[in-house]
Amino acid sequence: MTPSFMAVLDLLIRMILIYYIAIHGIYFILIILGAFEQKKFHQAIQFREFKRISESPLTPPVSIVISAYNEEMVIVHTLLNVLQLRYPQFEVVVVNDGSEDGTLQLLIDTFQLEPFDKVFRKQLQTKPVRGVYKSAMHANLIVVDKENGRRADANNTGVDHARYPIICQIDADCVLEQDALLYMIRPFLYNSKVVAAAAMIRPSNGLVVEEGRIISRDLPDRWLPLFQAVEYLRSFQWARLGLTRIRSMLCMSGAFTVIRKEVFIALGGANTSAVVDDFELTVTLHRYIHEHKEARDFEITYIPDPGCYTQVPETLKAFRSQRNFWQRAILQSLIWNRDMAFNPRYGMAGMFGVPFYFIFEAMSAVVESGAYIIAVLVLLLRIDSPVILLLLFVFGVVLGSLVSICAILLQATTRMRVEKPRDLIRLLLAGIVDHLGFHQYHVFCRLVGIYDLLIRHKTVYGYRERTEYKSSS
Amino acid sequence: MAGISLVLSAGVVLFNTLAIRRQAKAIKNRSMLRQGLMGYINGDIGARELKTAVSGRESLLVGLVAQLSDELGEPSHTKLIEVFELSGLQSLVRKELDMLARSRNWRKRQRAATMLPYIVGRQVVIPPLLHALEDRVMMVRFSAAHSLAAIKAVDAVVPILEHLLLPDEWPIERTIEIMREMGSEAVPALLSYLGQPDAKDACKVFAISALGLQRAGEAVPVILSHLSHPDKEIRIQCAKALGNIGASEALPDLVTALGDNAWEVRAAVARSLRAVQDERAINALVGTLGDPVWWVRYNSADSLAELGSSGITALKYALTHQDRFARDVSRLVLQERNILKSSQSTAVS
Repeated sequence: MTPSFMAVLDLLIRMILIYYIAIHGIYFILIILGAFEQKKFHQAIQFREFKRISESPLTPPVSIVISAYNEEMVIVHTLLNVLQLRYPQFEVVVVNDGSEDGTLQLLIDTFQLEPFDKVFRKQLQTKPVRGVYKSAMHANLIVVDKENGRRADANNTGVDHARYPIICQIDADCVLEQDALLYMIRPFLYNSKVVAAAAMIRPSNGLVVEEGRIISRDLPDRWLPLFQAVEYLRSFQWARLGLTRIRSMLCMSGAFTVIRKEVFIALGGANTSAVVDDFELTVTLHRYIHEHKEARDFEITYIPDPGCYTQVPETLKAFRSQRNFWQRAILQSLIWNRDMAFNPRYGMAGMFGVPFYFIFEAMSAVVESGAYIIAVLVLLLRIDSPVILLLLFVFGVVLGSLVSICAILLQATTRMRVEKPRDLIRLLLAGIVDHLGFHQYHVFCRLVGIYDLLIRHKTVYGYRERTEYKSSS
Repeated sequence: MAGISLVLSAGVVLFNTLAIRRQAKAIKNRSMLRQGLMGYINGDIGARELKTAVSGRESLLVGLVAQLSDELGEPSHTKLIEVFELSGLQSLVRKELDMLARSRNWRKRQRAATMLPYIVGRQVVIPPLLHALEDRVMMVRFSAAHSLAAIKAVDAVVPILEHLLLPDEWPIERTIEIMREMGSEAVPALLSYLGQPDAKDACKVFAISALGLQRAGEAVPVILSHLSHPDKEIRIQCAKALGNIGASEALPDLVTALGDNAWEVRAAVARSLRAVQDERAINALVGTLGDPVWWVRYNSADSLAELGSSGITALKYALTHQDRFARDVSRLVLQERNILKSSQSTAVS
């Protein structure tokens, strides 16, 4: 080993250790910040408040847009769930995005759909619409059948057909709590400057759902969704809430977002060229806020209540495909919007949000892979430095587990605590062992995602699977 | 470090277990307290037994009384207020009053403003709530105003109008909602306010809208006098209010207002005309089926459909209208109401 090689190796190790300290430190701070925000949120809810909102004729009506592509497994449950929401006035616009399975026919049969010449103002460019249907059973349900154009295009079509000033976008595999929309609309009622709200999302894999109603909210039975449950807790419940507090949250999940229609239209709708529309939409909204004088006071909020549940992959194949997809989405959007990074014109979103997401989200797979390669090198080259290996292990594995346990601990201080001790132990175990294999696999999937975007220019989703909800019987 | 993870995990399990036990205990205490309060309301137990039931559970009392008052309404509400006149429990009222006046934490002030009407009589609670309308935090003012509306404190109408006239970001619907909660008792005060020469335009918006939501027929002349006001927001609220009241005497003015320069006013008038239930509105609505703005066209067509068979006949006739947009919107409304079948019918299996 030459001294120069050893010097480079030493430098790399130091950089990686600093990176680990920074990423876990920032996440830890965000989690604490998120916990304070959540406490404030719950303290501010007044007695009878949601009852008042649900009964008021002045509560703004909402159009719920659901994009569906090959969703015959779950779409009926989702619609039954959404149609039972506690909210004074809403319509549901389902966009069948050129499904190749029986989604449309199932909808026609279940909800007694009839063709309908819907007149609407076309404000966004979308793939051609093949037909519009209205339900004979539910006056507030319409289905738009269109050629396939992916979720962004379907959402744009849905927004075009929506009649109300506030749009709620959800995915076809989502299940909502009955009062989820009341929670989402609340910030809009008290502040006209709120233009969008995102919410906490949790895995639906352990839910028992019957006729669209949530019967129980157990944790997933299998370990792979359980690892993701811990990850969602860390990221959706706490970190994103903390990021919203400092106006740097760049991802309103497309699984459950509420946005003012006029703002969505002003942004040009969802970007159909993006790998995933939600991240890009959020970054574009931040850009819009800072580039337009009249939008300077606009606010994006985050609702720290578990209002929405979504299916997470139950097999490694589906997981790999999803994470690869997410990685490409984040990286693509950050590359497109690189001019915002460290640019004071974009406020906190530019000075902190974009660099944070680039360094600690988009690039973390590269740095972590580097750490594993160095660890292997140290072993193979028989460099007598157990301290290096120990440090890499501690910073790369143990600190990550500690952050996960802190997220679970904070959850125990809220009303969303896990009731069954067995479930809590499983969740903690998932948090501890998450970094002993699962996380490394996750890093690998994301690394492939970077390769797929930068070298293969891949934008399609890939493999996806849906499972039916558990039933109490 | 691995040891720390395990110790922390054990701590989480312990913390969670204790929290669940605490929660179960609170549920049990709440249930027993509720039982005691229900017994007291129904006259099954006296003050002494109630005091025993409350003992050690004082922290739960205010919240539970508020909930029961809300569920049961009068006269249970009055009976529940009596609970706080029992010796030893007056301190709970003093604590809430003190919190509203002095707490540095605005959320505590807000909670006190919300809870006080449930635990103390209106004569005692009105002055501090009126004072809370001047709080520096909007949410505290808002809660105080809601509480004043809930106890029908008519003297508070003008202070609420003026103190909830807040910065731009505060949506006007929230203040209108409070006025609506006040009920018909607020009508004379609102009318009197609209007659004042120094009444602020922004407050007039709330007052007019609230009168509409109260369906106050006696307010029609005053509202009509504001229908040509220079402020667009006032004109919109006038149109909506006249629609809510369903005042047929307003028809000529509403028809004139269909020609307003602001499309928002035209859309509101088109929607209001359905409530007037007068066939004279039909011709005017047919005229706005070709309006340049979609919402005006849609509201006109929808109102026509609401105006009975003559309106529907006019809509069917409009299917041959020379204006394509008028034809489209007429077809849309007729299909929405299953009066017309879609031209795509054959495409469906």
